Amino acid sequence: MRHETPPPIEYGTGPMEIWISRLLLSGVLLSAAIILAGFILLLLRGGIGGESLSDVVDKQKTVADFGTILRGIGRADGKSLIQLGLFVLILTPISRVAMSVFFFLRERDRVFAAITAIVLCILVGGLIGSAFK
Amino acid sequence: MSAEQSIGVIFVTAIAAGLMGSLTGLGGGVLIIPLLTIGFGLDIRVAIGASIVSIIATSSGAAAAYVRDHLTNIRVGMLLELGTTLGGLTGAYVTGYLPPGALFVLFGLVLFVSVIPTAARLGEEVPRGIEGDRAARALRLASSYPDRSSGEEVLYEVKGVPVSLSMMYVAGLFSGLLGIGAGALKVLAMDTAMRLPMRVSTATSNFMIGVTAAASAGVYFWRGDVVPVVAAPVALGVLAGSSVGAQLLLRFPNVAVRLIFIPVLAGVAIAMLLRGFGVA
Repeated sequence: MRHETPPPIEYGTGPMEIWISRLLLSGVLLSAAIILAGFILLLLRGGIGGESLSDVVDKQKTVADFGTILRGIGRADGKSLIQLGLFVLILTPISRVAMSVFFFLRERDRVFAAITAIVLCILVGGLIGSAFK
Repeated sequence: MSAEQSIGVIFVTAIAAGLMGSLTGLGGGVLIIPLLTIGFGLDIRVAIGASIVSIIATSSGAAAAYVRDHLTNIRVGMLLELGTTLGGLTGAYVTGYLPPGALFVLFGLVLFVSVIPTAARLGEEVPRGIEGDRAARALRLASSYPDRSSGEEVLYEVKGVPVSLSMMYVAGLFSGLLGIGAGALKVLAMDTAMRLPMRVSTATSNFMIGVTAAASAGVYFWRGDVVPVVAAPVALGVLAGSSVGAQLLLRFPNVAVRLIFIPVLAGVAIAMLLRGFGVA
């Protein structure tokens, strides 16, 4: 059986590395800013006044859905804003995988484009699948 | 204690957990979950939910730096994510069916196992004379990384692809089950099976932790286990603490830090086991 010699890969920091790095950092900073804003709103508007932590946790521990979160943001509800920030955080590594599919396709690396596409399907499938039950 | 006071204490302890997590290389999760459950009496699933999102923040922040510095083997990371994400999803679903006692016991056991490589990896180097296996050659996994002292590119080969993939499924499973990064398990697989250089396996493990956590975080998020009032101070605190820790690591060798924290971690592991067996 004959093997084709694979072309050598380039060493050093390529465009994929640079863009992945930028994407991850921006995603984290954006989500941290949204979470911080929501956290400040939650503390300022006294949504947690006078009770014990476990009472507040019990009140907030409800199954999340996107409509409720969006309506909450409309009311400038700190809790919903935090949830939006957490959702952006979850999307950050997922977008990194999506970006990699694009880069591997551009490099005509079909095998790795397929591998990353499968990882993307697992992530997106899991996220959507667990939202609708 | 009022809720406001508790939140303030959680925020401060999350900063400390993030700081220690980045100094020991174990991540914040292994410390924040015992603090929230044993310290604040919170439901372990709420603690796991807060921890899993904070892990995405810290690992993505660290990964951004490692990837930019060309320490991460992106191809190895992407390949092994096939295992970690499937494991992460499985773990997140299984947690919903396990009694809290079982989660405490599992957590204690995994923490013990995580301490071993932390203790063993006190000063190691690049493995020499590794011959890449067939899968690694076909997938072009061999790469190089810049050596800090000489500034030269160090070339390395990769082996043990199938074994590592299955070990990654297990690492992902524990990450999703317990809301930890399971970085120690990932590094263990890459060190022993793939024979990657230590700095590369650490960076590549970090690269995968965020994606692994994202796979299970969605399940926790929609299930209502990511409670905003807990998750916000934990995520912000751990992120702040680990950023400071990363800066400190540049100045101080982490060998001494690791030695100090090994008994602390062993103590935490025992406390979680006792709680799991209903003793404490």
